[in-house]
Amino acid sequence: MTRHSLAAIAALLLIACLSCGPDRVADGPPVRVLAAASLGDVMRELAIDYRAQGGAVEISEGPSGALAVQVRRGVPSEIVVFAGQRPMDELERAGFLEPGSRINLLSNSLIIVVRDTYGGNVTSLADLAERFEGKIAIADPDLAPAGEYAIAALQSAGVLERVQGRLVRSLDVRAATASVSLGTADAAVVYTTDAIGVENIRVAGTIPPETYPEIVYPAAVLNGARDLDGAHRFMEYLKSERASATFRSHGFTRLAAMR
Amino acid sequence: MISDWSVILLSLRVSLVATALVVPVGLVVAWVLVRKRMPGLFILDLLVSLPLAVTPVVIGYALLSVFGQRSPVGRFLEDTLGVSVAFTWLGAVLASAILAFPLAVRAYMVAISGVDTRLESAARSLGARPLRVFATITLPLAYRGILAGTLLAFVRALSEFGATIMIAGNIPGQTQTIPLAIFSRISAGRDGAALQLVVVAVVLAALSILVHNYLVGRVRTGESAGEARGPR
Amino acid sequence: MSAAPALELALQRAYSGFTLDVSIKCGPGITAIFGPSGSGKTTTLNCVAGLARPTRGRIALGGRVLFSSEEGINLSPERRRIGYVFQDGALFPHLTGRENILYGYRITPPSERRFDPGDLIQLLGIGHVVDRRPGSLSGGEQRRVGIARALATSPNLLLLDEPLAGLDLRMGGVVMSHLRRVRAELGIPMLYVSHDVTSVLALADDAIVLAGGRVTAQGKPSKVALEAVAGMRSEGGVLENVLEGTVADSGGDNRPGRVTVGNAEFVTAPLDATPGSAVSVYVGAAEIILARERPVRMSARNILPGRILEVWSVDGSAYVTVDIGTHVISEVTAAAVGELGLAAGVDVFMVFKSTSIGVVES
Repeated sequence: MTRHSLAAIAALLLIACLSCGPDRVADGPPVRVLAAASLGDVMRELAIDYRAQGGAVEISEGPSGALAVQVRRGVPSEIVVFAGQRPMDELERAGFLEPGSRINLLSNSLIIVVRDTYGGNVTSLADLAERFEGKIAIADPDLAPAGEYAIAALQSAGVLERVQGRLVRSLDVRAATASVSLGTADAAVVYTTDAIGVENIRVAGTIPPETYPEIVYPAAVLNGARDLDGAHRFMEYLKSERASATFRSHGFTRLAAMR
Repeated sequence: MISDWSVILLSLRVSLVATALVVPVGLVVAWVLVRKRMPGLFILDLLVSLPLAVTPVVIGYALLSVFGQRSPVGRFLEDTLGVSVAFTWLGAVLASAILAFPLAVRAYMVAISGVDTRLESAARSLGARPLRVFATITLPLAYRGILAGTLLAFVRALSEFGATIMIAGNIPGQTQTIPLAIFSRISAGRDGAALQLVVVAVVLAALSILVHNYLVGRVRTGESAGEARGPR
Repeated sequence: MSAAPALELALQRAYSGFTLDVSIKCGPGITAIFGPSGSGKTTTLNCVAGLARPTRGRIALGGRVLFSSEEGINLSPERRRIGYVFQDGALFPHLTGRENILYGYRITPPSERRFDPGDLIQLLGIGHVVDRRPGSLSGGEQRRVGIARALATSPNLLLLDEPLAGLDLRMGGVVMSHLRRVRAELGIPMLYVSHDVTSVLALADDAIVLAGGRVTAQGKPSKVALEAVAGMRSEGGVLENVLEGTVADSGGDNRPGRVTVGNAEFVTAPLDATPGSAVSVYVGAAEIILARERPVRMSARNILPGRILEVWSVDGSAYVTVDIGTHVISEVTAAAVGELGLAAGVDVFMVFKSTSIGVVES
């Protein structure tokens, strides 16, 4: 009986060894895009459209910190798109970007969300401070740029001191949104893009963009790119009118201006 | 869109190959740690346990440092052997294997140390070389614990995230295993789709445990039947 | 058998406050290493087998050097061609008795195989149990499978570590008589470790006494074992004569049984064994009375004439070996030796009751 079971293990391992790696999609290496996790869905949707037009592209998403390390350690890739300028600044300083290729691709905005069952009339950060008593979720400013922007907006509105005791710091901006959806917080200051498709919440109001730093998603071609031409072609596609419609449907605003 | 099925199959494939790597190396390391007495072994012991002590992202960082295009190792593998680890399913295999390794080795060590050394000595005195002793005496007698450790390693490989997203990236159809897909879906706010995969992960883990219990149970009843056969 | 020593060893091994320092030469036949527990017996065997490494020394078997600290030789256990019978058998629990026996046989190169496993199974009388797993075998059966397993590799030396420990009188007797058969039929030198004086007397051709890691005596088993036995008293050592015999008459219906041992015949209690069957006969040395003249009007049924071969006095006791057609030892007080004038060559009568004889079928 011992022998039988050992044979079963051996067979299992054999099958595992025989099953080779996944088939490559294209012949040459596709243009590989390292994208911030918050852009994953929209980038994958664009990739499908781009492939339908005959291009070859693949998206790898992850936290910004992971993407920066991957670039620094020489993972073969063509394009990076971050949710914030800082990691891109660092890569640029370290000389990993193709000169002149950096653009501000997209922007995002801050909104106030509340539970959809909340009947009160809260439309601004001042309202949150004066006519609202619940907990307010934001992304942890030490961990995510969304948190820094939220703090800046609260400061500009002059209410930071008064809401300080009611602020709940979430791991990231998604978690802040989810905490309202799940009822552990009563309101949250989050990105416009986060409110799309989330149940049990409603957008209570928008926050004036001049009261916080510009939320920019920069993109750039990497100078270690294996296929520079392909990389530039996909950058052009990202800037195209066709792509911007898809970005809009996910709540982003297209900037696509050369910096 | 990449379907759930391709994510699940890729995950299974990565975890199976990772486990296939862990078993032989883990057995050798466990055997050395349990049966050999030499100076410096505690360093090996420490190295084996290290992946348990540091966060997986650090392991992924280390793997990228070793296998990235900027390291001599990574360049050698790519240029000479045509093998690339970073951002391929091999990277996912390596990450899963390293994170699963300590669990397997710990279980193997307990299993091997449970085998009476006198039986191994007896086999040596009967003319068997150490490798043969290991294969014919130690392995069959430690088999239950080895099986348990192997399934534990498999389940751990199945759930590996932090190191994998660093070394292998998160490319649908290429390196996106179940945990990475769950991460992507949560990042995109698609909690329902993420939940589907969470259910799949739980079911796979439960199946592994059931298979383990079934095999172990069958061994146990088989042996007691053998003992009951003859009069004492 | 050649007269050259089969095994020569001189070794030192120091470990945790204990130093083993032994020097032994063994001839063919069975050499007993005898001594109390903790005296270094098993460690000596392990050094010979290659399972423990001496700090210093030299071990040679039939002229082949197995270990030499000077020459830097240390053959691994599997290359020494030494059979090892472990204390409780150490059988592989996941294999049947037969698979255990074939384990080493299969590894042994065909050109070196001298014994057929089937013959060994027959010799050790385990044909009816070899297809079972060790877990379902009795202690005595396990020891015999262990002996067969070690012999199946056709070793040049057989090491036996307390092969009778933990067995009752019957099982011990069975294993002992099989060891006698092995000695008689296979002619393999054996190193036999025991703290039991009875089995040493019954089996060994030569005896070595080990105490505190040193050899304190070496010579004929009767001499050295008896000298050592006094020291063993505190551990409950009891000297028994173990003799091989054949049932002449089973007895019954108020008729006693009769067993032929050598050229003597013992009167026993009625026996279960059928006439002609081989038995082991146990007689405690302290239960045998010596008389210079044939006693009359005695209730004891065994009154056997013989001549004294040896007298050993140790610590107030004396052990008198008498040839009554077989060699039997009697334990008497030292005072009796003087009063009766017991010495080698003196004719005496051995007197013991039929009920003080144990008979075990082998």
